[in-house]
Amino acid sequence: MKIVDGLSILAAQRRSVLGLLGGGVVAAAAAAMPQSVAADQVEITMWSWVPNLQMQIDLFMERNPDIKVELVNAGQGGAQHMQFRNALRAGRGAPDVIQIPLEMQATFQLIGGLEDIGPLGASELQGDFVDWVWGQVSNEDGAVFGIPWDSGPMAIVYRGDLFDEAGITEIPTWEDFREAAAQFRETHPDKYITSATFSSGGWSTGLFWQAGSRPFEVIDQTTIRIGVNDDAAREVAQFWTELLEADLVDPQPAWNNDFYTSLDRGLISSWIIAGWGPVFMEGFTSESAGQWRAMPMPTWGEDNPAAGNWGGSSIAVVAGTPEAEAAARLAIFLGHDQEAATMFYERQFLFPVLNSILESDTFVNATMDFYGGQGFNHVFAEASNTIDRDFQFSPFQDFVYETLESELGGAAANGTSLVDALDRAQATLAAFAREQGFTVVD
Amino acid sequence: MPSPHRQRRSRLSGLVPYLFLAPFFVLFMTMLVLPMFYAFYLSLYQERMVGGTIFVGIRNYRTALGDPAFWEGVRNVAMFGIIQVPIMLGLALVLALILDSTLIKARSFFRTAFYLPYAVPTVIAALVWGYLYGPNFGPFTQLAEMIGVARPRFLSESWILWSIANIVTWTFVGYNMVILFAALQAVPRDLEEAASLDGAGPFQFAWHVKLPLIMPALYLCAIFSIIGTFQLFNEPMILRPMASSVIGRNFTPNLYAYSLTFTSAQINLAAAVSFITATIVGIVSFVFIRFAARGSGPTT
Repeated sequence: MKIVDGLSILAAQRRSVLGLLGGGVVAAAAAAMPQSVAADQVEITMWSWVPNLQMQIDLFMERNPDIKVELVNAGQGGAQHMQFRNALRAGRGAPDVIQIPLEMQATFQLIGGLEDIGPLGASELQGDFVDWVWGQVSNEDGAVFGIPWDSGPMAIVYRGDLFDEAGITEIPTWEDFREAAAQFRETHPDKYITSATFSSGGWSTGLFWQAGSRPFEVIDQTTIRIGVNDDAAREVAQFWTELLEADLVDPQPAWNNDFYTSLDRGLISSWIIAGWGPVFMEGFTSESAGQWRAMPMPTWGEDNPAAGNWGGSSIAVVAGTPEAEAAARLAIFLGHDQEAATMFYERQFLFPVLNSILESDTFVNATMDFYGGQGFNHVFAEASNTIDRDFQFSPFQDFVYETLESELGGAAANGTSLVDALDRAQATLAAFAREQGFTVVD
Repeated sequence: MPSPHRQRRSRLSGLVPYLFLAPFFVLFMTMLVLPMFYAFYLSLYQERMVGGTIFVGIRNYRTALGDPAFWEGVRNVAMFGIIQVPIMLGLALVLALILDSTLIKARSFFRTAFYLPYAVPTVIAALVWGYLYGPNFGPFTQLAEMIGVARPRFLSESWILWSIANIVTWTFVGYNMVILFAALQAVPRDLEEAASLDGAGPFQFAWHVKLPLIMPALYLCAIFSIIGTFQLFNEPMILRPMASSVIGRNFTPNLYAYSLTFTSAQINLAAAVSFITATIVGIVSFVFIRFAARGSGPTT
């Protein structure tokens, strides 16, 4: 673990040097001018892609005049991850606080990029957050590598009018979904009940997650178990292969204009999407506005009422920051402060992970024009409570998503077996992990 | 014996050319040569998540050379180049000859119109064409529905390379046309008189006189196009979300290097892939120049 060692040594050095300096300054300031704020004001930097975040940052600085926060949008996805990796490698240029997608938490933990803020006040907050999300930011030893910020419990967002015409009111299990899809095709021969968007790694992972798949287990720092093609994932893959073969679902990829128009015009009549989805969909549905509804994802049997998750993020403190204490205060404020958290779901539409918000009447009963003035937050809030806590992401999740996208997305588009695609992904990922120096076990 | 004064002056004036060169030289070194050396240095190591960074010598090169994913990308751009470059240059040549002839009016209008697509950033061009190619709601699909023919499948596996070729051609025909047109303008006008006295029509004149004279410009365009083809990146990158099942991470060598760097954090392998790609471009360009120089006879 050369990189990690190097980083922690560097971090320790920086901390001790700056600690001495900082301590000196604080002591001098305290002696000379105890009233002054500016003299011992701490400056920290945060990277985040949440829009209009400055609102909450200003609120934080108002309440904590001893901390000055500089907000930087370092992009989202691969661009941000690469910048962060580079900064960690160079030992400078990294922020003090960073927004990390939940699926990248394990990756940045493993390369030693995230600080354990359990001792800095985070440990006490455990009970206030949704249990499974807390599981994603903490480990068994009680270390806490970030404050949960938002999540993406999944549900079906569908066209109420088109479903009504097809006589579909509820879809309890996936077997029922198969029937509903056929029924829908019969009523609307030119439309599909939904699209099999396996070209999105986060989407497929959410489906596998729901079925109880456990694709990764980091056994220790050098050993990893990989099983993206485990029984649960195979069952999902087989199910969707059959739907595609029978022409019951659409195979086109998500995340492009043609797909959005297809949703708006009803060509694709639902999207199995996360809690942040409706607000996103509101942006491109004009013809169909007001016709949308939400229902829970079908389950894999009545004894397994789980939901899947797609997306979400945490606020982490970067390992080695000389201002870990101030950074942790910011992270805890943004993730845990009631006022800030309320603003985040009302103004920035982050799906909440604080139990107090998820249970609040204002959140549960919030309505949207997209839903024709109704509210469906409760569907996502209930889904949020049933997500498997023990699901783990890999320490190289960028690559996992890309591999799943090309193998599964390709199979879905070409009408070949998704199960075989999973097997190929498994082989690719195991080879990659070995190349990266891991011992891979099945 | 020269005076000390004169000696100092001549020493100073000897420095002047270097001062003029300095801005270019400094930028050339810091932006091109140093990064290249650094990339080469990187390509000799392997950074791993477990076990840190180790020196591996030429292993990254062997990995890349033995990687079918890399060669698939090379094959894609090679096929693309063999078909697209001649079509694009042929079109550019025809347009340049038409503009240069006395056949048309409003010459400067057409010249600007043909050149205009080049002024559109390639990212924007790819986005616009991506919309036009839309499988369900793109204008071409709508048109096909209206006249009752099968929908075009621009973003399918068998079409995608040529859909991209179309975008690139649309963007760069005007650019190449301007280069060829400029060369045509330099063809002495008295040759035209001489040719017509000898009884040559406009087509014969274009083929037998103008074309040989602008061959060097055509070679230049061809070399730029070959290099551009191997560096194909923007268009497939932008079309990827619309055709994610057919544009893989290794669709072109540059896309592969990008994905290795930004997705799987294998910067060392990416550096090796970049060097191999550059070597292939160098070899292809070299072979082309040799071949073209031999084939063209007296004009070079």
